[in-house]
This record gives sequence, structure tokens and C-alpha cells, in this order.
Amino acid sequence: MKHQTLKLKVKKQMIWYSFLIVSILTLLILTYIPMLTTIKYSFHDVEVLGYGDSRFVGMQNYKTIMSNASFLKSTANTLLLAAMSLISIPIGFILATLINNVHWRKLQSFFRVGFYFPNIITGVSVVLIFQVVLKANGGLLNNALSFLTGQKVSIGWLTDSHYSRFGATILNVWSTLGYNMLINLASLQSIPGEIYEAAEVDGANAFKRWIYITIPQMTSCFVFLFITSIINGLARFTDLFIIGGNTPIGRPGGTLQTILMYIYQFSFETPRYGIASAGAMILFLLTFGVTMVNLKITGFFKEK
Amino acid sequence: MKKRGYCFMMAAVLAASWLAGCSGSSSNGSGTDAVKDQSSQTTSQTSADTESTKETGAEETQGAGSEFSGTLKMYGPGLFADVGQDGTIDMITGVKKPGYQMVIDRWEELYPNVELVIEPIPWDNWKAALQTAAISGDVDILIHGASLGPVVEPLGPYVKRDSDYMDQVTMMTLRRNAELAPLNEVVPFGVTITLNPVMVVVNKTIFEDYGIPLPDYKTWTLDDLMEAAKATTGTDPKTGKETYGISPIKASDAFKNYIWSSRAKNNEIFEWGDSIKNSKMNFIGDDTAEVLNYLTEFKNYTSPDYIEGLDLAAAYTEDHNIAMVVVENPYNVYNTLKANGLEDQYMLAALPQIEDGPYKGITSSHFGDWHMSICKNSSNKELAWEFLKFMTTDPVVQQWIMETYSIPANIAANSTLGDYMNDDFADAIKYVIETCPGGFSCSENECYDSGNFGTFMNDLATVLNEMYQGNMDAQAAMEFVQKNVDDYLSTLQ
Repeated sequence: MKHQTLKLKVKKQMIWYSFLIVSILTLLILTYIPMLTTIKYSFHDVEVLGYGDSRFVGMQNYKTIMSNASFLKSTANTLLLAAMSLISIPIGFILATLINNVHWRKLQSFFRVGFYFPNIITGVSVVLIFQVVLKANGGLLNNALSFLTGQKVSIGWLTDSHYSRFGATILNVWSTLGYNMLINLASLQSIPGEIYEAAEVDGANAFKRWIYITIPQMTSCFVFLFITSIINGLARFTDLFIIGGNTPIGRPGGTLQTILMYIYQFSFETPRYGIASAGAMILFLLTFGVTMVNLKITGFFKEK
Repeated sequence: MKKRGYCFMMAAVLAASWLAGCSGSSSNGSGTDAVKDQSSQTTSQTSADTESTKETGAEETQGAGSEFSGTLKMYGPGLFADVGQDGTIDMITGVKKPGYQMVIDRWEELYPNVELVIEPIPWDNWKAALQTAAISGDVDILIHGASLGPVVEPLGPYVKRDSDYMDQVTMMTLRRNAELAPLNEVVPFGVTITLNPVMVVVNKTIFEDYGIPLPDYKTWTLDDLMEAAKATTGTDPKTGKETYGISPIKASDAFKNYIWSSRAKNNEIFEWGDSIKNSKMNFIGDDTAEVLNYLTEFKNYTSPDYIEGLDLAAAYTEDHNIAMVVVENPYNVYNTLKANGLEDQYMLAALPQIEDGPYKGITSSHFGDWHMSICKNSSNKELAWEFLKFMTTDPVVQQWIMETYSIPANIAANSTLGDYMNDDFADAIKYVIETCPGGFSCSENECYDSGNFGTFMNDLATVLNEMYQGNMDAQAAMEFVQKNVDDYLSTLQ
């Protein structure tokens, strides 16, 4: 009797586990095994995957990469570009506040969709468009600056290494603004109206309500956007790859080469899989570390 | 009032945001409209020729390869992907190109027991894709795979065995790979199927407007090229339009400009030993500085849109304002010119002659190519070699290549270029093919090597772009490249 009950229990559990097994196997085969293999390769001297001798070299790949000027530059570029792309969050918040104050619902929807629109355009198209908008000779931005300053401005926003990070940030902000606006707007609209009403009764004006009610209530939204933007920023690749003419060199002048592009370069352009794997592990540790620091600073772990 | 103010402000911000997105496409395109109708010139005549050749060839060789059997799989980018299995029609010029089904049909005629499986891919991330395909172990031929040294089979023994093969082809795809041969030897790692000589497209009208004699491409020098660029930059005396002297190969591939100009200066920077440890690259030197400064001087004679790759939007049209364009695909350019009815307004020229060294006096033009290699872990290597020979020697395939507006690397087929294009253009291309030494490609030659010195190729593009922008001088550029190369070499454990 007892044996039968146990059998029945196991059978019942098996049904549930059978649902999970596909996901677990997929995760194992497509995520964890490649990840563990990358860790293994990072300690080996491998040129092209699957060919030639693979020799254990200990920490040599890490030492090599950490003393390589190009890698250090690409790390600095990655962090700088990720930090610069954060500007999209406050702009998205301001935009969301403005849209939230449009009370005619149809018009609000129009602006919501309108500003989100760039988000659905593929990265390639955005870059192609902005190559013309930001071009040195007669680009839209330069024309506007020329008009405002009264003198001819011809800055190569994507081609001059002095300005390229700004150009890449403009492009990034344009394409992520809609998403940031939408998340901010959803969060804004979930703030209970009673708090505002109480503040109004206490004599708080609109600006004070925004400063003392809206912004504190938005903290969790800001934390979410901050962390996801940083993670996305650290993994930035496609737009910068295309700006550089479909090369991973971070044109112009290597100023737009991120760690991911460095890894790509040593995986496929100049195959040194050992070096590339070490780079991938460093990127993983960097992303993990930055996320942990973010969570700590923003009080995510604190019990409420 | 407040609401209306908000709405107005939001509308203004949104409009500005949209404007950024909409402003892009106005500057390009106009020049291509005229082309559309003119060039439904298909290849009807040549198709007819193909049919006859096919019949003749088939009669001669039908079943010649019946001793072979199995399946031959190939994978990679290039011509097969460009034309597709059933052919393609160029959206701008209207020109039709036959698909690779013709190749399959011909192969099956000759090798009835061998199934051909072609998997073409686009050029995007092709190196990554080829490596993945090779690892899978399920591919026999890697299309355009010679640069992946350890993955492909060296073809030296095959060529040696088929001694008459080399008499039929223009060049092989040569590389240096220390794992397979001493580095001071070049080894064939692939068979070149089509050639892309780097040449100059000259707008004769602009030269005539400025009263400048047209270049004699068999004798002109680097200085002549610079002088011509200088003389044709400014306000066109006849049309009053702004013209620019030259558009070198696009800035993102600026290293290719280094290849031809360093060759013209005979700037040999390598000391090859048996291994990479015993080999050296001496990039810092007066000759290199001279080459880099020479290329930077073009800045004064190029369109301000060159660095962004936007100067050729209206290229090869009647009122295009660039006097000389350095191109990697002269046949395609010819095709566009023909479609625009502008064969008489333009001419092709070989790049200036080499100033010194063993090749003194010949053109500094080099070749890009489309090639095929045998995958090292293929179990059908003999059959794969048969296919490589078939692609480079079979008359029907050579004709198919010509009909796709490509230049075959087959000596006999090259001689018929004049049947497909205006003699002036064909003669210029033939001049380059006939004078250029066989192994001088855009990947490997006496002055340049893309396979053994890490990021050398990319670093060259970086410094040339930086010099063009005025952010670097030649000394800093040379030090940057040399340091990266030395860093890379120090990583080889």
C-alpha cells in the first residue's frame, strides 16, 4: 500500500518534471555548457576552434589581455559609452512627465506611440539614417548648429575620433528614448493620486509635488532602467559595428571599440579563441560586478 | 491654455525627433532613376553562346567523371549568393544575371553520380559562419575560406600532381601559414574563381573640362595621379560645378589603399623567417611614412563626404563630380556605365606604375578575388579538388562567370573579355591581369600580409582614417601600428 502511494507520488512528480526537463536541458546545452567551455578555453592556447593543438596555459591569456593596450582601451570605451547612454533615463522621465500631463487620452496615446516608434526600427536602419543626420558636411545636426551659432559647423560626429562617442550616444539615446519614456510613464501612472491630492491640500505646488512625490515614488523604476541600461551598454555591439563599416575596430580611431567587439575581433577576424574567451570572462565578471554594485548602491537588497 | 501649450510643446519635440529620422534619404539616389529603363540589356546573346558551348562541351566530356560518386557540400559567401540559384535582376540597372543552377546542371552532366549541395551565405559575418561550418565537419568546400589557414587544406600537392592545371589559370589563392610551411614560402590554400583587379575609373569629361590630358595608364606614376587629382579639384571651368579629384577605396577599407600605394613605392616591410617568431615587420621607416603621407594628401582632393562613404551616391552618372574613383570591381562599374549609356564618358585605368624593385615599371594594381578551398576535415578531398578544377577550367562555367559580370581566373576566358565589353575597358583589365604577378592579392603580397600579424589590417584602416581627419601624423601612426603588431606577436605562446 505504502509502496503504491510512493509510486503514485513519483509518477505525479514525474509529470511535472517532464514539463521542466525540456527547459532545463535547453538551458544546460545552449547556455551553461558553452559558458563552461568558454571558461575552459580561457585557460588554453587555442587558435581556431576545433583545429590545431589546444595547450593549457593557466592564466597566461588573462595576463596577456590585461596588459594589452587595445583591450584596456576597449574596456574604457565600454564603460564610458555605457555611462553616457544613461542620459536617456532622465530625458525619458522628463518626456514621460510631459506626456502624463497631456489629459486628452487620444493625444496622449499619439505621443506615446510616436516617441516609442524609433524603438521598433532595426539597429541597422537607425545607423544608416544617423550616418546622414550626423555627417560632417551638411548633416542635419551640423546644419542646426550652424544656424544657431551663425557660423559653419562641420563636425564629423561619427567619423572624427574627438566627437564619435557623442555621436554614438546621440544615436543610442534616439533609439532607446521611447522605451525609457514608456517604462517611466507606466510607473508614473501607477503612483496613487491620493498622495498628490493630500500634498495639494497641504499647499504643495506642481514643482514641489514633482520633486517630493513623483521622483521618490519612481526610485524602483529608475533602478530598473539604470541596471538594464548599464547591462545593455556593456554588451553594446551592433550599432558600433555598423558605424565602423562592418568592422570590429571601433572606427574612428578605435574610440568605439567595446569589449564585445574586441572579443569578436579575436574570435573571427584574427582567430585566437583563448584570448577571446579570456575577454568574454572578463566581460562577464565586469557585468556581474557592475550589476552587484548597482544593486547595492540603489538599496535593492535592503528589506523593506 | 495650459493643455494647448503642452500639446504644442510635445508636438514640437516629436516633430524634431521624427525629422531626425526622415532627413536621411534625400541626398542619394537621383542619379539612378535614368538607369532603370535603359538596361534591360540582358545577356541574350551570350546566353545563346552558352547554349552552344554547353552542347559542345557536353558532347566532349559527358560522363567524364562517372568514376566519382557521393555528395559534395559547399558553403560560403560570394558569387553564388549574389546571383542565387535561379538568377537575379539588378533593381537599379535591370541587368539579369544567370543563377548557379547552370553550374549544377553542367556538373551533373559531367559527374552524374555526384550530388552537388551549395549553401550560399551573405558576406555579413562570413568568417564566423565559415568557421562554424568547418567545425560541423559537414562541409567539403569552404567558399572564400583560404584566410582561415588551419581550417583549409593546402593545395600544393594537388597542383603538383595536375601539372598542366597552372597553365590554364591566372592565379591561385596564396597565403603564408607557419603550421604548414615555412613562412618565407607562400602556399596555395585556394583556387581563385573570379578576379577583381583594383583600378581607377576616370571621368573623361571632367579631365577635358579642365584641359588635363587623360592618363596613360601604362606609364603614369604616383605623382601623375596626385597631380591629376589636384588639377581636377575645384570649380569646373565649363559647368561651374564643384568637382573633386579622387575617391580612393572607401575609408572603412582604407588599408586597401595602403596595399597599392605601398606596392607602388615598393615598401617591403617584412623579414620572413621559417616561423612567425623568426619573422619581423618593420613598419616604422621613411618609406612607410612616405606612403601614409601620400594617401593623406588625397584629403585635399576628395569630397568632404568621402570619409563617411557617402561621396559615391551619384557615382557613374552623367554629372557625377568626381574625376577618378579607385574601384575594386571594374566589371560591375562597367556594367553600371553601360546601363547608363556612359561608356564613352568614362575609361578604366590601371593604378600607377611601381617605382622600384623587381616589379619596377608594371602597374601597382592588385587583385581581390573570389576563391574556393577544400575543408581540412572533408572526407571527399579528391572530389572537392575535381570541383575546384571544374570551376576554373570548364568552358561552360567560365561563360557563366562572364555572364554574371565577373572576371574568371582562366587564361582562355580572359582573352574573350572584349566580347563582353567595350575594347577600351577590356584592354585595361587585360593589361592588369597580364602584368600583375600571380600571387599579388589583397591578402598577401610583398608589401602586405593580412594573415600573420594580428590586427595589422584593421590598424592600418584606423591610422589612415585618423591621419585623414588630422588627428594623427605619420610618426604616431607608424608607432601605433608597430606597437599593436608587436603586442600581438608577444601573445603567441
